[in-house]
Amino acid sequence: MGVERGRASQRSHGVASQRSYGTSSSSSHGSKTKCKNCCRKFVSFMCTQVGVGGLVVSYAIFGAFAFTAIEGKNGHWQTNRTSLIHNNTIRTLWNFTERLNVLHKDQWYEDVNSTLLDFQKRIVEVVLDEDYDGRNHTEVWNFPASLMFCLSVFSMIGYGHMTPRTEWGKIATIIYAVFGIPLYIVYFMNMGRVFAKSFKFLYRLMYRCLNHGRGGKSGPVEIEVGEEGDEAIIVPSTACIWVMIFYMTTGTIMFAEWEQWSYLDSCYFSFTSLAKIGIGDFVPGFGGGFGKAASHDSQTKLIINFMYLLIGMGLIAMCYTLMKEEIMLKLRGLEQDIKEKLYICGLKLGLYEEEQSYPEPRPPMHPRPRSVRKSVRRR
Amino acid sequence: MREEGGGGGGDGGQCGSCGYYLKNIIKFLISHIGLVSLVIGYTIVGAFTFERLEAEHEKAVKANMSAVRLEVTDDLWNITKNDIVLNETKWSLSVRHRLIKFEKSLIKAIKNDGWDGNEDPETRQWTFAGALFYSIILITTIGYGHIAPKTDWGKVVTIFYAIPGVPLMMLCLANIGDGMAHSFRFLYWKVCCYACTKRPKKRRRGRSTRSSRRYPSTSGGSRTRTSSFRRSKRASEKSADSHLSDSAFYTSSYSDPDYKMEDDMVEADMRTLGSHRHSEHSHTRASQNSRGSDYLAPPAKEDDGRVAVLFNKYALEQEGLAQEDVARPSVRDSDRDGDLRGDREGREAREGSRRSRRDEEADLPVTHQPRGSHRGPPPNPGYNDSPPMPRSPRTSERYQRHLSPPHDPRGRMSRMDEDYYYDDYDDYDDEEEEDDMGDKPVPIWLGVMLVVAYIFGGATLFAGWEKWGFLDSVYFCFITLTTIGFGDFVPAQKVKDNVELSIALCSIYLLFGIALLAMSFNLVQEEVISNVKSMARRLGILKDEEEEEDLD
Repeated sequence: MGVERGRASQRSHGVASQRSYGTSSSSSHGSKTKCKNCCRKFVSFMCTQVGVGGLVVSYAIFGAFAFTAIEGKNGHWQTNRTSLIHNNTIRTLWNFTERLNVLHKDQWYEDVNSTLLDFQKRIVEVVLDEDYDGRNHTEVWNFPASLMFCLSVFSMIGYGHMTPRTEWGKIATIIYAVFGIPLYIVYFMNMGRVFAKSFKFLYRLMYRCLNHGRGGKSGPVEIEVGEEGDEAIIVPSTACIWVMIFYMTTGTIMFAEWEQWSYLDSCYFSFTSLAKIGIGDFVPGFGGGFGKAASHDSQTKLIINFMYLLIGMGLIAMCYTLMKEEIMLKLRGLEQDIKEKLYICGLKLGLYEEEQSYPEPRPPMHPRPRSVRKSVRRR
Repeated sequence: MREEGGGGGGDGGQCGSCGYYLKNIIKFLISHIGLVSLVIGYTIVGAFTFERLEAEHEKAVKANMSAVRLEVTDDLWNITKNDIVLNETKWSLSVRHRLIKFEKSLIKAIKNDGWDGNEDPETRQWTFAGALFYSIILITTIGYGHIAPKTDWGKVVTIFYAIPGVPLMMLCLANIGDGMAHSFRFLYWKVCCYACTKRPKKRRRGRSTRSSRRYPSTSGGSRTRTSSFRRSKRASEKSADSHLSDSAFYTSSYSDPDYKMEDDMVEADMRTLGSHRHSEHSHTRASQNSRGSDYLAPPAKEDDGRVAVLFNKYALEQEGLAQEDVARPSVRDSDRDGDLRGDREGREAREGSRRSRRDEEADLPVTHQPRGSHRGPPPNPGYNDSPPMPRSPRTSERYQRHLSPPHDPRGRMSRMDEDYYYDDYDDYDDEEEEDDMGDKPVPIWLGVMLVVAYIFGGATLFAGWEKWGFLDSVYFCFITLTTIGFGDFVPAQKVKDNVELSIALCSIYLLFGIALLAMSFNLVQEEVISNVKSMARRLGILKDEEEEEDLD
């Protein structure tokens, strides 16, 4: 679509310039047309891949700033609450310790244990209720982390490692998602097309290079026909799967090295991110653990993760574009088989009426030129 | 889904209608039951698997907590013992450090090890209900993360469980959403008909006569023009669609209007076709109908020919893979409201979009073949031959006349016959109005209201059950239904008794909600597309193409 639109915009540009040239004699008309042309060109450009991609990135950046502002100043009340708990516990413990002039270990152990249990319960309560992880909000909502948060919102991944705690944050999240998700879907589909085209091009190039001199037919699974006439080079669906596997492997190795995760954890993270499930127990930059401050290094990693996910989703769109027909057909066949069987069951159960009459052959109708002309004229 | 035999019910009285509706509902359920039961079975299998894998680990983590606490106590004892003279400040400082460490280990246990904060080994998170909830959340791609697999095997199984599970769930929800959209559209127009002046039923035969005018071909001039026009229109359509349809599969509303328009014309065909749906020749027979080019193998699909709609994340544009629903005529025919739009552009857009979809669907048989679909530069405005499906001579000539060009699966196509479709609608406008019920989509505000009402209704319920604030509940419902799924609010976490019930209710809410979202997408698609197109036209994107088309 993007190419098409690019072409369309080129056409429109050509046409418009011709038109504006023709009307430039009347200056007001000319300037107005030029203005309109500029607007058209701009909007057409924005609908291309580059435009949409830039729009997505800028939307994410805008969202990151907004959320940093909204949530970051939520302040230190969590740490206040926990330090209160700490102080109380210490005081209680001191009382126990002080009271025991002769330290009966067992008694002391019991008291301290119960105090610690109490401490534990309260801390757990704060953690579970307020999503506390040892840091205050300003530390949590730094810019790269907010960027990741925005990405996880509009790409519908939804990690959940950071969530808005203020009311305004929640409202902002909803509004951000309402506008961000359609934008993201546009981007997704555009990227899919771009990647599909490039991939097909690359594949054909590679194929021709490899089969230089041989006008061989391509592999087993045929999905599409190339633009060339006789030599039909097609992209088998397995190639797409390999691409995805390769990309996930790249992600696995990258995250394992940077975050010191195990390879399984990295793979698990890559998969759940690209599948947009987004469990959130592993998030780069948070190290799959909590309590680590966001160092400068991890901020860079967050941005790289952002790009990785964006590109990864484009690749998924590409694979889906290239593979979907085949998948659809197979699923269709499966679904039809199932439905046929169910229908037969239903027939037996007497739910469906049986009709035996066959359709009558339809005589071909002759055209009505009058109406044709009418429609043509109208259009 | 609407049985062709039920056409009589539509014409009949109220009793007949009631029985007809009931029958339709049962048929709908039965036809969907395969997919739904597959999904249910899949989640249950997942629940068993995950529970087995994760429950032990969780018990171990819980048992570990008291050991951790004991360790802290030991350390405190050591701190206390070491000082001969207990200085409060110094002691407090050391104890504070130790407590901070303890807090960190608590947080780590909760966030990393999946501890739920409770040491009681009986109240686990990984019960059967919890694992079932996890499976559902996983394959709907919501992914709360309130429980997550912590064992290695759990993670591996998660990956391999999700790979087929996510498409399966999306397919199921899309199907359900489709069916719901049909029912809703039908109900809506029934209500509308009673509310507004009821229009007399036009002669279907006349319409069919008229519509079969489409097929004969005309001049090539209009062909190229319409092709480029269509191409550009489709481009804008695509952009609009991509905004709107969360669908990798074809949304049924695409094919719906196509069906609706063809329906009256091939009504008789379809009645009989439905009966032969499951015959062995269904495949060819489908092609034998005048709409043969338009669907691949309608047999066995008496309700939703479309696989369509919501493949939530993997949004792709409309694809000609949705089957058209064969057996829809009775419902549609019973009260058709024709083209109500005064706005010609909008109508054209809709028709164009409908046509495009139908043509894309027509591509479906083509894609079997190696020739497949064209991706790349826009297709030449010529024709390629029809798909090699066997066609009876009766319809083959008709088919030849509206050959389906090999168009880009993304919907770029150059069909010649579109001007005839417009032609038909011009005539419709002239001679009859508001006959075609299904042609006019449900208004946008209605679709939006549905979703918003569902969110607010759910929010009220959850606010009551879970004792969250109302804003939190709205936030939770929204985040869940868009499958973002942060996990900061998860239902059934604080409830100690009737956990299974809470989880079941929540699962039903969110599954139904996602299906509802699919349904409302379905319903408002065309309207939104035409609106976006008219807006684009106003902005000047499309206008250029129209002008170009004139110059072509």
